Amino acid sequence: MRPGAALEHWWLAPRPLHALVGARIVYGSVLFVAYALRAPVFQDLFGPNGIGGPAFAARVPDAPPLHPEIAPFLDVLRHVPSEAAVAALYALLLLSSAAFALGFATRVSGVLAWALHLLFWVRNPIAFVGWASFLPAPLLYVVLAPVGRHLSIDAWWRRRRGAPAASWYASGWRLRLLQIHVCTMYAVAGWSRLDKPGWLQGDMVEIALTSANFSRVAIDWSALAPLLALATWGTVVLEALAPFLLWLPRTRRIWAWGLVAMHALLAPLTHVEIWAWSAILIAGLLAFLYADDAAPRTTKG
Amino acid sequence: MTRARLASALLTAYAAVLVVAALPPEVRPRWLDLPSEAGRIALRSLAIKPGVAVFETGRDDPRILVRQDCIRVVGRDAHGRETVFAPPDDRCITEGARLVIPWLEGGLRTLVLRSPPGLAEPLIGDWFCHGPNWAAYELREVKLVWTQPWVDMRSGEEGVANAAAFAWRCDPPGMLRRLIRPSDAELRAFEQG
Repeated sequence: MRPGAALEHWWLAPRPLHALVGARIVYGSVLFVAYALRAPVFQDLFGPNGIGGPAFAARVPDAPPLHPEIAPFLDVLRHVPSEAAVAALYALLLLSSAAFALGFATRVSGVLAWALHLLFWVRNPIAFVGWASFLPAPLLYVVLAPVGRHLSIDAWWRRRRGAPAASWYASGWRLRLLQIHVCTMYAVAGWSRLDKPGWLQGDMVEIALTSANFSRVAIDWSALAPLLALATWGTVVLEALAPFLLWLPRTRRIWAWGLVAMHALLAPLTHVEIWAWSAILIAGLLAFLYADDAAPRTTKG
Repeated sequence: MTRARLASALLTAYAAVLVVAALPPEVRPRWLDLPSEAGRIALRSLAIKPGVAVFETGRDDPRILVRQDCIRVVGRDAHGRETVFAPPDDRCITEGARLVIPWLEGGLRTLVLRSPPGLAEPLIGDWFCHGPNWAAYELREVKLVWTQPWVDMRSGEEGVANAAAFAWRCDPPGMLRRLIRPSDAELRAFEQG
Protein backbone atom coordinates (compact mmCIF):
# COMPACT_ATOMS: atom_id res chain seq x y z
CA MET A 1 0.00 0.00 0.00
CA ARG A 2 1.44 3.45 -0.91
CA PRO A 3 2.13 5.75 2.08
CA GLY A 4 -0.71 8.19 1.22
CA ALA A 5 -3.22 5.37 1.03
CA ALA A 6 -1.94 3.88 4.28
CA LEU A 7 -2.39 7.26 5.98
CA GLU A 8 -5.92 7.59 4.58
CA HIS A 9 -6.72 4.12 5.83
CA TRP A 10 -5.28 4.90 9.29
CA TRP A 11 -7.46 8.00 9.62
CA LEU A 12 -10.61 7.07 7.76
CA ALA A 13 -11.15 3.31 7.92
CA PRO A 14 -14.17 2.23 9.99
CA ARG A 15 -13.45 1.85 13.72
CA PRO A 16 -15.72 0.80 16.58
CA LEU A 17 -17.82 3.48 18.22
CA HIS A 18 -17.83 1.94 21.71
CA ALA A 19 -15.17 4.25 23.13
CA LEU A 20 -16.74 7.39 21.69
CA VAL A 21 -20.20 6.43 22.96
CA GLY A 22 -18.67 5.84 26.41
CA ALA A 23 -16.89 9.19 26.20
CA ARG A 24 -20.19 10.88 25.27
CA ILE A 25 -21.82 9.58 28.45
CA VAL A 26 -18.83 10.52 30.63
CA TYR A 27 -18.17 13.97 29.14
CA GLY A 28 -21.85 14.94 29.26
CA SER A 29 -22.13 13.73 32.85
CA VAL A 30 -18.94 15.51 33.96
CA LEU A 31 -20.16 18.78 32.45
CA PHE A 32 -23.59 18.43 34.04
CA VAL A 33 -22.28 17.60 37.52
CA ALA A 34 -19.45 20.14 37.47
CA TYR A 35 -21.75 22.98 36.41
CA ALA A 36 -24.59 21.86 38.72
CA LEU A 37 -22.15 22.01 41.65
CA ARG A 38 -21.53 25.65 40.74
CA ALA A 39 -25.24 26.54 40.91
CA PRO A 40 -25.08 28.36 44.27
CA VAL A 41 -22.32 30.65 43.02
CA PHE A 42 -22.76 30.77 39.24
CA GLN A 43 -23.52 34.51 39.20
CA ASP A 44 -20.38 35.10 41.30
CA LEU A 45 -18.36 33.07 38.81
CA PHE A 46 -19.93 34.06 35.49
CA GLY A 47 -22.41 36.93 36.05
CA PRO A 48 -21.91 40.58 35.08
CA ASN A 49 -21.12 41.52 38.68
CA GLY A 50 -19.13 38.36 39.30
CA ILE A 51 -15.38 37.80 39.19
CA GLY A 52 -13.89 39.69 36.25
CA GLY A 53 -17.26 40.46 34.59
CA PRO A 54 -18.25 43.51 32.53
CA ALA A 55 -18.94 45.58 35.68
CA PHE A 56 -15.40 44.80 36.87
CA ALA A 57 -14.00 45.80 33.48
CA ALA A 58 -15.84 49.12 33.70
CA ARG A 59 -14.66 49.82 37.27
CA VAL A 60 -11.05 48.64 36.78
CA PRO A 61 -10.35 49.32 33.10
CA ASP A 62 -6.57 49.00 33.45
CA ALA A 63 -6.67 45.46 34.93
CA PRO A 64 -4.62 42.89 32.99
CA PRO A 65 -6.62 40.45 30.82
CA LEU A 66 -7.77 37.21 32.45
CA HIS A 67 -6.35 35.03 29.66
CA PRO A 68 -4.33 37.04 27.16
CA GLU A 69 -3.77 34.10 24.81
CA ILE A 70 -7.40 33.30 23.95
CA ALA A 71 -8.83 34.82 20.76
CA PRO A 72 -11.15 37.75 21.70
CA PHE A 73 -14.06 36.39 19.63
CA LEU A 74 -14.38 33.51 22.11
CA ASP A 75 -14.71 35.91 25.02
CA VAL A 76 -18.29 37.02 24.32
CA LEU A 77 -19.80 36.11 27.72
CA ARG A 78 -17.61 38.70 29.43
CA HIS A 79 -19.59 41.39 27.60
CA VAL A 80 -23.07 40.15 28.56
CA PRO A 81 -24.45 42.75 31.00
CA SER A 82 -27.62 40.87 31.95
CA GLU A 83 -27.83 38.43 34.88
CA ALA A 84 -30.96 36.90 33.32
CA ALA A 85 -29.13 36.17 30.04
CA VAL A 86 -26.24 34.51 31.92
CA ALA A 87 -28.76 32.47 33.95
CA ALA A 88 -30.55 31.37 30.76
CA LEU A 89 -27.29 30.28 29.11
CA TYR A 90 -26.24 28.49 32.29
CA ALA A 91 -29.57 26.60 32.38
CA LEU A 92 -29.17 25.73 28.68
CA LEU A 93 -25.69 24.36 29.38
CA LEU A 94 -27.05 22.15 32.17
CA LEU A 95 -29.87 20.89 29.94
CA SER A 96 -27.70 20.28 26.89
CA SER A 97 -24.96 18.45 28.82
CA ALA A 98 -27.56 16.19 30.49
CA ALA A 99 -29.21 15.58 27.09
CA PHE A 100 -25.82 14.76 25.53
CA ALA A 101 -25.02 12.26 28.29
CA LEU A 102 -28.42 10.62 27.81
CA GLY A 103 -28.19 10.75 24.02
CA PHE A 104 -31.25 12.92 23.46
CA ALA A 105 -31.08 15.00 20.26
CA THR A 106 -27.45 13.98 20.54
CA ARG A 107 -25.79 16.05 17.81
CA VAL A 108 -27.61 19.29 18.70
CA SER A 109 -27.20 18.85 22.46
CA GLY A 110 -23.54 17.96 21.98
CA VAL A 111 -22.80 21.04 19.91
CA LEU A 112 -24.63 23.23 22.45
CA ALA A 113 -22.85 21.67 25.44
CA TRP A 114 -19.45 22.08 23.72
CA ALA A 115 -20.05 25.69 22.64
CA LEU A 116 -21.52 26.79 25.98
CA HIS A 117 -18.79 25.11 28.03
CA LEU A 118 -16.23 26.85 25.85
CA LEU A 119 -17.89 30.24 26.43
CA PHE A 120 -18.25 29.74 30.19
CA TRP A 121 -14.68 28.48 30.55
CA VAL A 122 -13.32 31.43 28.57
CA ARG A 123 -15.50 33.81 30.64
CA ASN A 124 -13.81 32.68 33.84
CA PRO A 125 -11.02 30.09 33.57
CA ILE A 126 -10.30 30.62 37.26
CA ALA A 127 -13.66 29.06 38.11
CA PHE A 128 -12.21 25.65 37.18
CA VAL A 129 -9.10 23.56 37.56
CA GLY A 130 -7.32 22.16 34.53
CA TRP A 131 -9.94 19.69 33.30
CA ALA A 132 -12.14 22.45 31.90
CA SER A 133 -9.36 23.80 29.70
CA PHE A 134 -8.48 20.34 28.39
CA LEU A 135 -12.01 19.14 27.64
CA PRO A 136 -13.10 21.34 24.67
CA ALA A 137 -11.04 19.54 21.99
CA PRO A 138 -11.76 15.91 23.07
CA LEU A 139 -15.41 16.85 23.56
CA LEU A 140 -15.53 18.24 20.02
CA TYR A 141 -14.13 15.00 18.58
CA VAL A 142 -16.88 13.07 20.37
CA VAL A 143 -19.60 15.53 19.30
CA LEU A 144 -18.52 15.14 15.66
CA ALA A 145 -18.94 11.34 15.81
CA PRO A 146 -22.29 9.54 15.43
CA VAL A 147 -22.39 8.84 19.16
CA GLY A 148 -26.18 9.00 19.43
CA ARG A 149 -26.50 5.68 17.57
CA HIS A 150 -26.20 3.57 20.72
CA LEU A 151 -26.94 3.65 24.45
CA SER A 152 -29.08 6.72 23.87
CA ILE A 153 -32.65 7.98 23.94
CA ASP A 154 -32.27 8.66 20.22
CA ALA A 155 -31.47 4.95 19.60
CA TRP A 156 -34.35 3.84 21.79
CA TRP A 157 -36.71 6.15 19.87
CA ARG A 158 -35.47 4.81 16.51
CA ARG A 159 -36.04 1.24 17.66
CA ARG A 160 -39.59 2.10 18.78
CA ARG A 161 -40.31 3.39 15.30
CA GLY A 162 -39.04 0.14 13.81
CA ALA A 163 -35.85 1.50 12.26
CA PRO A 164 -33.04 -1.06 11.75
CA ALA A 165 -30.22 -1.16 14.30
CA ALA A 166 -27.39 1.23 13.44
CA SER A 167 -23.81 0.06 12.91
CA TRP A 168 -21.33 0.12 15.80
CA TYR A 169 -18.67 1.23 13.29
CA ALA A 170 -17.91 4.60 11.72
CA SER A 171 -15.03 6.35 10.01
CA GLY A 172 -12.22 6.34 12.56
CA TRP A 173 -10.84 9.87 12.37
CA ARG A 174 -12.61 11.08 15.52
CA LEU A 175 -11.34 8.08 17.48
CA ARG A 176 -7.82 8.72 16.12
CA LEU A 177 -7.98 12.38 17.18
CA LEU A 178 -9.07 11.35 20.67
CA GLN A 179 -6.24 8.81 20.87
CA ILE A 180 -3.67 11.39 19.78
CA HIS A 181 -5.01 13.99 22.22
CA VAL A 182 -4.86 11.51 25.11
CA CYS A 183 -1.22 10.88 24.21
CA THR A 184 -0.34 14.59 24.02
CA MET A 185 -1.98 14.96 27.44
CA TYR A 186 0.37 12.36 28.91
CA ALA A 187 3.33 13.86 27.06
CA VAL A 188 2.66 17.28 28.62
CA ALA A 189 2.06 15.83 32.08
CA GLY A 190 4.58 12.99 32.13
CA TRP A 191 7.53 14.53 30.31
CA SER A 192 7.35 17.82 32.20
CA ARG A 193 7.84 15.86 35.44
CA LEU A 194 11.21 14.50 34.31
CA ASP A 195 13.19 17.37 35.83
CA LYS A 196 11.01 18.03 38.91
CA PRO A 197 12.70 17.05 42.19
CA GLY A 198 9.38 16.25 43.87
CA TRP A 199 8.64 13.59 41.28
CA LEU A 200 12.16 12.24 40.77
CA GLN A 201 12.82 11.86 44.50
CA GLY A 202 9.52 10.03 44.95
CA ASP A 203 7.94 12.67 47.21
CA MET A 204 5.10 14.13 45.17
CA VAL A 205 2.27 11.73 46.02
CA GLU A 206 3.01 12.03 49.76
CA ILE A 207 3.18 15.84 49.40
CA ALA A 208 -0.16 15.96 47.58
CA LEU A 209 -1.83 13.65 50.12
CA THR A 210 -0.47 15.46 53.17
CA SER A 211 -1.38 18.97 51.99
CA ALA A 212 -4.84 20.30 52.84
CA ASN A 213 -4.69 22.14 49.50
CA PHE A 214 -5.16 18.87 47.61
CA SER A 215 -6.04 15.99 49.87
CA ARG A 216 -9.37 14.80 51.21
CA VAL A 217 -7.46 13.10 54.01
CA ALA A 218 -4.62 15.48 54.87
CA ILE A 219 -2.90 13.48 57.60
CA ASP A 220 0.65 12.34 58.22
CA TRP A 221 1.18 9.64 55.61
CA SER A 222 4.88 9.15 56.44
CA ALA A 223 4.32 5.57 57.66
CA LEU A 224 3.42 4.72 54.06
CA ALA A 225 6.26 6.77 52.56
CA PRO A 226 7.96 3.87 50.72
CA LEU A 227 4.67 2.85 49.14
CA LEU A 228 3.88 6.46 48.19
CA ALA A 229 7.35 6.84 46.68
CA LEU A 230 6.64 3.79 44.53
CA ALA A 231 3.30 5.37 43.54
CA THR A 232 5.12 8.59 42.58
CA TRP A 233 7.68 6.82 40.40
CA GLY A 234 4.97 4.57 39.00
CA THR A 235 2.98 7.64 37.96
CA VAL A 236 6.00 9.16 36.21
CA VAL A 237 6.74 5.92 34.34
CA LEU A 238 3.09 5.32 33.40
CA GLU A 239 2.55 8.87 32.12
CA ALA A 240 5.92 9.41 30.47
CA LEU A 241 5.79 6.16 28.48
CA ALA A 242 2.08 6.31 27.66
CA PRO A 243 2.53 8.28 24.39
CA PHE A 244 4.59 5.34 23.07
CA LEU A 245 3.27 2.22 24.74
CA LEU A 246 -0.42 2.98 24.20
CA TRP A 247 0.20 2.53 20.45
CA LEU A 248 1.89 -0.85 20.64
CA PRO A 249 -0.61 -3.73 20.42
CA ARG A 250 1.37 -5.77 22.97
CA THR A 251 1.46 -3.08 25.66
CA ARG A 252 -1.68 -1.06 24.83
CA ARG A 253 -4.14 -2.78 27.13
CA ILE A 254 -1.88 -3.23 30.13
CA TRP A 255 -0.72 0.39 29.92
CA ALA A 256 -4.24 1.74 29.48
CA TRP A 257 -5.50 -0.28 32.44
CA GLY A 258 -2.53 0.91 34.52
CA LEU A 259 -3.46 4.51 33.76
CA VAL A 260 -7.14 3.82 34.48
CA ALA A 261 -6.16 2.38 37.87
CA MET A 262 -3.98 5.41 38.62
CA HIS A 263 -6.79 7.86 37.84
CA ALA A 264 -9.38 5.79 39.69
CA LEU A 265 -7.19 5.76 42.83
CA LEU A 266 -6.46 9.46 42.64
CA ALA A 267 -10.07 10.63 42.36
CA PRO A 268 -11.37 9.67 45.82
CA LEU A 269 -8.24 10.88 47.62
CA THR A 270 -8.14 14.43 46.29
CA HIS A 271 -10.74 17.19 46.29
CA VAL A 272 -9.58 19.67 43.64
CA GLU A 273 -12.02 18.29 41.05
CA ILE A 274 -9.62 15.52 40.23
CA TRP A 275 -12.73 13.35 39.88
CA ALA A 276 -13.51 15.30 36.70
CA TRP A 277 -9.93 14.92 35.45
CA SER A 278 -9.96 11.23 36.20
CA ALA A 279 -13.31 10.65 34.50
CA ILE A 280 -12.28 12.60 31.38
CA LEU A 281 -8.97 10.76 31.05
CA ILE A 282 -10.44 7.33 31.77
CA ALA A 283 -13.03 8.02 29.06
CA GLY A 284 -10.18 9.04 26.74
CA LEU A 285 -8.33 5.81 27.50
CA LEU A 286 -11.38 3.88 26.28
CA ALA A 287 -10.17 4.97 22.83
CA PHE A 288 -7.25 2.56 23.31
CA LEU A 289 -9.17 -0.16 25.13
CA TYR A 290 -11.90 -0.30 22.45
CA ALA A 291 -9.91 0.42 19.31
CA ASP A 292 -10.31 -2.97 17.67
CA ASP A 293 -8.61 -2.61 14.30
CA ALA A 294 -10.56 -5.47 12.70
CA ALA A 295 -13.52 -3.50 11.39
CA PRO A 296 -16.09 -4.97 9.03
CA ARG A 297 -15.77 -3.71 5.45
CA THR A 298 -19.46 -3.19 4.90
CA THR A 299 -20.11 -0.48 7.47
CA LYS A 300 -21.03 3.09 6.71
CA GLY A 301 -19.03 6.04 8.10
CA MET B 1 -6.94 15.60 -4.80
CA THR B 2 -9.75 13.36 -3.59
CA ARG B 3 -11.87 14.30 -0.58
CA ALA B 4 -10.39 11.43 1.43
CA ARG B 5 -6.85 12.50 0.65
CA LEU B 6 -7.59 16.13 1.56
CA ALA B 7 -9.25 15.09 4.82
CA SER B 8 -6.34 12.84 5.67
CA ALA B 9 -3.83 15.63 4.93
CA LEU B 10 -5.72 18.15 7.09
CA LEU B 11 -6.05 15.70 9.97
CA THR B 12 -2.34 14.86 9.77
CA ALA B 13 -1.42 18.56 9.80
CA TYR B 14 -3.61 19.21 12.85
CA ALA B 15 -2.20 16.17 14.66
CA ALA B 16 1.35 17.32 13.88
CA VAL B 17 0.68 20.77 15.37
CA LEU B 18 -0.88 19.14 18.45
CA VAL B 19 2.07 16.80 18.97
CA VAL B 20 4.74 19.46 18.44
CA ALA B 21 2.91 21.86 20.78
CA ALA B 22 2.75 19.14 23.43
CA LEU B 23 6.52 18.75 23.68
CA PRO B 24 7.52 20.38 26.97
CA PRO B 25 10.72 22.46 27.00
CA GLU B 26 12.30 19.91 29.37
CA VAL B 27 12.58 17.28 26.64
CA ARG B 28 12.31 18.90 23.22
CA PRO B 29 15.35 19.64 21.04
CA ARG B 30 16.11 23.37 20.72
CA TRP B 31 15.33 23.43 17.00
CA LEU B 32 11.74 22.60 17.88
CA ASP B 33 11.37 25.50 20.36
CA LEU B 34 9.96 27.91 17.79
CA PRO B 35 7.47 25.56 16.08
CA SER B 36 6.39 24.19 19.45
CA GLU B 37 5.71 27.63 20.92
CA ALA B 38 4.01 28.79 17.72
CA GLY B 39 1.78 25.71 17.74
CA ARG B 40 0.96 26.17 21.41
CA ILE B 41 0.01 29.82 20.88
CA ALA B 42 -2.09 29.03 17.80
CA LEU B 43 -3.96 26.21 19.54
CA ARG B 44 -4.35 28.19 22.75
CA SER B 45 -5.96 31.08 20.88
CA LEU B 46 -8.66 28.61 19.84
CA ALA B 47 -8.97 27.22 23.39
CA ILE B 48 -7.28 23.93 22.46
CA LYS B 49 -4.79 22.58 24.99
CA PRO B 50 -2.60 19.59 24.12
CA GLY B 51 -2.44 18.75 27.82
CA VAL B 52 -2.15 20.04 31.36
CA ALA B 53 0.38 19.09 34.01
CA VAL B 54 -1.32 18.78 37.40
CA PHE B 55 0.42 18.45 40.78
CA GLU B 56 3.41 20.44 39.63
CA THR B 57 5.78 21.77 42.24
CA GLY B 58 8.02 24.76 41.72
CA ARG B 59 9.78 24.38 45.07
CA ASP B 60 13.51 23.71 45.17
CA ASP B 61 13.12 21.52 48.24
CA PRO B 62 10.12 19.22 47.90
CA ARG B 63 10.43 18.06 51.53
CA ILE B 64 9.19 21.48 52.73
CA LEU B 65 5.45 20.92 52.66
CA VAL B 66 3.00 23.81 52.52
CA ARG B 67 0.11 22.42 54.54
CA GLN B 68 -2.40 24.95 53.24
CA ASP B 69 -2.64 28.33 51.54
CA CYS B 70 -4.55 30.19 54.27
CA ILE B 71 -6.34 33.20 52.83
CA ARG B 72 -8.06 35.56 55.26
CA VAL B 73 -10.37 38.26 53.91
CA VAL B 74 -11.76 41.05 56.07
CA GLY B 75 -14.15 43.75 54.83
CA ARG B 76 -14.74 47.13 56.45
CA ASP B 77 -17.88 49.24 55.88
CA ALA B 78 -18.43 53.00 56.06
CA HIS B 79 -18.96 52.82 59.84
CA GLY B 80 -15.69 50.99 60.42
CA ARG B 81 -17.45 47.68 61.15
CA GLU B 82 -15.31 44.72 60.16
CA THR B 83 -16.55 41.36 58.86
CA VAL B 84 -14.35 38.29 58.40
CA PHE B 85 -15.49 36.65 55.16
CA ALA B 86 -12.85 33.95 54.95
CA PRO B 87 -11.89 31.49 56.22
CA PRO B 88 -15.18 30.25 57.74
CA ASP B 89 -15.13 30.69 61.54
CA ASP B 90 -11.85 32.56 61.00
CA ARG B 91 -10.03 29.20 61.17
CA CYS B 92 -7.67 27.87 58.52
CA ILE B 93 -7.84 24.11 58.32
CA THR B 94 -4.44 22.57 57.70
CA GLU B 95 -5.09 18.87 58.20
CA GLY B 96 -7.74 16.22 58.72
CA ALA B 97 -10.39 14.68 56.49
CA ARG B 98 -12.65 16.85 54.34
CA LEU B 99 -14.89 15.52 51.62
CA VAL B 100 -15.27 18.86 49.86
CA ILE B 101 -13.70 22.28 50.06
CA PRO B 102 -16.09 25.22 50.63
CA TRP B 103 -16.52 27.30 47.48
CA LEU B 104 -15.08 30.45 48.97
CA GLU B 105 -11.93 28.73 50.20
CA GLY B 106 -11.29 26.98 46.90
CA GLY B 107 -12.21 30.05 44.85
CA LEU B 108 -9.92 32.36 46.79
CA ARG B 109 -7.04 29.91 46.59
CA THR B 110 -7.50 29.57 42.85
CA LEU B 111 -7.66 33.34 42.40
CA VAL B 112 -4.50 33.86 44.45
CA LEU B 113 -2.48 31.01 42.96
CA ARG B 114 -3.63 30.98 39.34
CA SER B 115 -4.53 34.54 38.32
CA PRO B 116 -2.24 36.16 35.77
CA PRO B 117 0.27 38.52 37.46
CA GLY B 118 -1.28 41.70 38.84
CA LEU B 119 -4.86 40.49 38.45
CA ALA B 120 -5.59 38.63 41.70
CA GLU B 121 -5.78 41.78 43.83
CA PRO B 122 -8.30 43.72 41.69
CA LEU B 123 -10.34 40.57 41.00
CA ILE B 124 -10.65 39.66 44.68
CA GLY B 125 -11.02 43.25 45.90
CA ASP B 126 -13.74 44.07 43.38
CA TRP B 127 -15.51 40.74 43.95
CA PHE B 128 -15.94 41.40 47.68
CA CYS B 129 -16.80 45.06 47.12
CA HIS B 130 -19.48 44.46 44.46
CA GLY B 131 -20.06 40.72 43.98
CA PRO B 132 -23.62 39.32 44.27
CA ASN B 133 -22.92 37.59 47.59
CA TRP B 134 -21.38 40.57 49.36
CA ALA B 135 -23.16 43.65 47.95
CA ALA B 136 -25.41 43.95 51.04
CA TYR B 137 -22.38 44.66 53.26
CA GLU B 138 -21.71 47.95 51.38
CA LEU B 139 -17.99 47.65 52.01
CA ARG B 140 -15.54 50.52 51.76
CA GLU B 141 -12.37 48.45 51.95
CA VAL B 142 -11.21 44.85 51.68
CA LYS B 143 -8.05 43.37 53.20
CA LEU B 144 -6.53 40.02 52.30
CA VAL B 145 -3.72 38.21 54.13
CA TRP B 146 -2.17 35.06 52.67
CA THR B 147 -0.10 32.84 54.93
CA GLN B 148 1.37 29.37 54.45
CA PRO B 149 1.77 27.02 57.41
CA TRP B 150 4.64 24.67 56.53
CA VAL B 151 6.37 21.61 57.86
CA ASP B 152 9.80 20.19 57.09
CA MET B 153 9.00 16.55 56.39
CA ARG B 154 12.53 15.42 57.40
CA SER B 155 12.87 17.14 60.77
CA GLY B 156 9.24 17.77 61.69
CA GLU B 157 10.01 21.48 62.21
CA GLU B 158 6.95 23.68 61.62
CA GLY B 159 6.36 27.37 60.91
CA VAL B 160 4.17 29.90 59.12
CA ALA B 161 5.40 31.84 56.09
CA ASN B 162 3.85 35.22 55.27
CA ALA B 163 3.22 35.08 51.53
CA ALA B 164 1.44 38.36 50.72
CA ALA B 165 -1.20 40.88 51.81
CA PHE B 166 -3.10 43.74 50.23
CA ALA B 167 -5.78 46.32 50.98
CA TRP B 168 -8.29 47.32 48.27
CA ARG B 169 -10.51 50.42 48.28
CA CYS B 170 -14.00 49.78 46.91
CA ASP B 171 -14.99 53.15 45.55
CA PRO B 172 -13.26 54.51 43.56
CA PRO B 173 -11.57 51.17 43.16
CA GLY B 174 -7.87 50.91 43.71
CA MET B 175 -4.99 49.36 45.59
CA LEU B 176 -4.25 50.98 48.93
CA ARG B 177 -1.32 48.82 49.97
CA ARG B 178 0.44 45.64 48.86
CA LEU B 179 2.99 43.59 50.80
CA ILE B 180 4.98 40.70 49.35
CA ARG B 181 6.58 38.31 51.87
CA PRO B 182 6.14 40.75 54.78
CA SER B 183 7.80 40.25 58.16
CA ASP B 184 5.61 39.31 61.13
CA ALA B 185 5.82 42.90 62.41
CA GLU B 186 4.84 44.36 59.04
CA LEU B 187 1.91 41.99 58.81
CA ARG B 188 0.69 42.83 62.34
CA ALA B 189 0.88 46.56 61.54
CA PHE B 190 -1.01 45.97 58.27
CA GLU B 191 -3.78 44.00 59.99
CA GLN B 192 -4.19 46.61 62.73
CA GLY B 193 -4.02 49.59 60.37
